[in-house]
Amino acid sequence: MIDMKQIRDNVSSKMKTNQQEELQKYNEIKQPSNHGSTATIGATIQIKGEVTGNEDLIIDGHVEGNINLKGHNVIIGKNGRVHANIDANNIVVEGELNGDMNGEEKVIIRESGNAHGNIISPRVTLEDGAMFKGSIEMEPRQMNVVKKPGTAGESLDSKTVNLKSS
Amino acid sequence: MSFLAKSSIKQSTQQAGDTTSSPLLFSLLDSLDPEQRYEILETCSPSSSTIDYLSRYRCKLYISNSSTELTTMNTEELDSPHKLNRALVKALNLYKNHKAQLNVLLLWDLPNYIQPDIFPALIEYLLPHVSKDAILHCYIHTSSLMPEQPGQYHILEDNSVRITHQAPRTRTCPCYYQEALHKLMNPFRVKRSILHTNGTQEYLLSR
Repeated sequence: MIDMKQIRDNVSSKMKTNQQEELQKYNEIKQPSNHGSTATIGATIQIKGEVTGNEDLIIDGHVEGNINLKGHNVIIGKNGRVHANIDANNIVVEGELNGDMNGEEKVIIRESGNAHGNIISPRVTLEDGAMFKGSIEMEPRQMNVVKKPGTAGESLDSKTVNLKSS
Repeated sequence: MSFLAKSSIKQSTQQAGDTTSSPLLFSLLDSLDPEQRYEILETCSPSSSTIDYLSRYRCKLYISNSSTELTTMNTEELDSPHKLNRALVKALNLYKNHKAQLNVLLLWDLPNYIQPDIFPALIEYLLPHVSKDAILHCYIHTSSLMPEQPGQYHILEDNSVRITHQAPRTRTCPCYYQEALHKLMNPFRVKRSILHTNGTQEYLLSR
């Protein structure tokens, strides 16, 4: 016998968990922005030209040109299609992006994201399954610059060639 | 003098893939000066752990994500140098105006899967983007069978490499030895090599 109440409870709890995860993801990058409001470019909207402003931006439509939102966050949603260079505080790609990313703080390419371009940012996260083709300019994280004792400056000029023993 | 580097290789089959210690890769990475700037080519699809690991260096990491494109290239379809060059530009994304000067090329196990007649064009295409002291790293399978497709390689923080494959199927291996590599990758020459206990030979090549 099928317990409909239990199924409803399970579905409801799963939806809540998914919503919480989504909310958590957005909150994770929303905090640094110093302006409370967020603009959304809806799925049917197409923009050609330069996008500038003083608030965060969620893109679910098509944007072609340049996006300059220094100090704010840009999120390309799963339906978003962007052909532009982006300059922002945090950049999150869940849809498609063809262009360079300059993230003052962080660039994240989610599992569903497909990005083609060059990244300049102190922190870059590529989730497993994310598609990315391009370059990442990296500065060393000072805390992680650790060289193993005895291996520093080890020369690669060693002529020792260790081959398979027959 | 030859030996099997049994002691230095730790291999553990995990649900997420095999792990290997890859001593030559880490000797190469250890030799990089954290104060200097490097340009590194990663031919695999992007891996978060590899990016994390390499972020300790001042470097520009080129992620070409070109395994599929490079391994499906053949001279029947790409029957002219122009077509072949255009396909390589599309795959590797290195344009003349980028002025890339690659210091490290991470080919992983791609050389086993690229058609031999594509190799000279690939190396010729790469050479203008490669610095004189560049080091090329790769794994060559030496068993009769190898995984059907190139692996996905993840450099881990504990100085090991995790290898994952999309499918467990296998195919015949070209079993390239040193002389064959010299022919395929001319002007690169083997600098160091080590045989892993799983039959994979790890190579560092330079000009």
